[in-house]
Amino acid sequence: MNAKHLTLVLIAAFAVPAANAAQTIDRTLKTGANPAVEISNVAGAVTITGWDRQEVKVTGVIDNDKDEFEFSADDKRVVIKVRPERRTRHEHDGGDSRHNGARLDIKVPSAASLDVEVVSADTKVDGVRGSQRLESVSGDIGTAAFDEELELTSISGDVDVRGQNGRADVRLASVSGAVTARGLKGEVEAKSVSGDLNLDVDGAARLRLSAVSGDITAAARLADATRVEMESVSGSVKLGLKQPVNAEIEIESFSGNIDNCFGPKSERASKYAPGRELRFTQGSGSARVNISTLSGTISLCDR
Amino acid sequence: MSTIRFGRTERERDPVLARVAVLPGDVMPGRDLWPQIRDRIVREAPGTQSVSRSLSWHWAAAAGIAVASVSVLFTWMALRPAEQGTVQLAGTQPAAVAALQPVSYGDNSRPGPEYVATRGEMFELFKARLAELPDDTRARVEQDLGAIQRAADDIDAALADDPASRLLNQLLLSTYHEEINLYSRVAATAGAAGRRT
Repeated sequence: MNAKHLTLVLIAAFAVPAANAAQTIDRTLKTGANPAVEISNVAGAVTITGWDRQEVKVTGVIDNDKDEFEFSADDKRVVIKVRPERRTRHEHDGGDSRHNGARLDIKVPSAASLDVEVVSADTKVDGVRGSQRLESVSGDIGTAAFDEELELTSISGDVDVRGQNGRADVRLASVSGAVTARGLKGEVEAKSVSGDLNLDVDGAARLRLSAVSGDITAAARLADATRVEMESVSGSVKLGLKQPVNAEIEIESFSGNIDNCFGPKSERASKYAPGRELRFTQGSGSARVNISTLSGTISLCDR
Repeated sequence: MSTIRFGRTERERDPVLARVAVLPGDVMPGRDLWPQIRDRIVREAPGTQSVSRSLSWHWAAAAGIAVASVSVLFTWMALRPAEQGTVQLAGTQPAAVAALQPVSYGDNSRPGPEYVATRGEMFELFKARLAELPDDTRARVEQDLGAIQRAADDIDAALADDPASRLLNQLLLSTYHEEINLYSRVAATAGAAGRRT
């Protein structure tokens, strides 16, 4: 290798890491059995897993060595933050491919509660039984619900929650991202503007679903006192009720069609104005179902 | 202080009860109360009751929206660190954001001045936060604002046909809520990560 080649190799060896310098994180701190864990990250990914140790472990890579990593813990509180180096708006938008954010794999005590805020990072939570408040701007959120309450909010990211046989009360909100939930048994509230809502609930005490233009699809097994409220302006609403069905049902639409598998047909709400309504009782009528739309089609079926 | 003991004999000896015993059995009011009672019944008659209930319902909803909005506004102002006090002014916002307008409601669905005033403050905060979002996210939020505008237009047109419809008024209220929710979600969510990081 001549001097010219050696110089090029050295330039490459120093220049490339300077552009792509990353921080590798592998740290563990002691904490209590059920600490409040506060996490914030801008871009990349955050994966949080519950384990049976009273320790918090963070591993991963922060793409930029100028980003600041904060990690502190005591028995009751854990803070994990990635503070990005101040960048131009173009770089924040992902215009600079050198910055992929921070990809963190975090292990926390399974009874911990979580408070997570991210911008474009995807968030995945598994095996954490404490309460969870997860917020994202454009990243997707996925988690499991046990018995403690969950509040998941996103602007354009998708939101997904799976019930783990607990009775957690769950609030899900997205602006344009899709919301999906399965196997929930507590009170469930899901809202969206244009994102679709797709839920499968099992004996939930209360189910409140609303959208402006997004479609709502739900499958539900009703408990005796379940209350279901579904509302959309222009999106369609589809509700599948699993047997046995014991409910008082009220459906109303201003200009959308109403399809009902249970038998009774909808009628005009008024002689003088448009609008159709359908009211009937199925079985003992112990639960209550209310569905309304302006122009969205409503479909009610027992499958 | 006089203590009234139980038993007929004790009652007859009690000086307070002795004075009560000589009072007249009924007392007529000093003036005729019936006209006021009648006025009140007329005011709450079924025809006017629904209007009154509907108004209070609207006021309650408006108050709820106002409280939620002001709460988000104050929370954001309180938590905002000093160096982030430079919210982008309209002049420095991307043109598409600067040109955004809040949802416009038609003659049949126009909200009250309190709602409009609170919404105005929320909307400026929303625009400032929206300007900081990545382009694709911002475009989706703008589309969502468009979806709410279309919903408001559809409801307004329907209200022209049936202004007293409970369903339409309920959907209109939900649309007011969704508009404010959109502003507060963007303001709170988009601002949160920036505050904490």
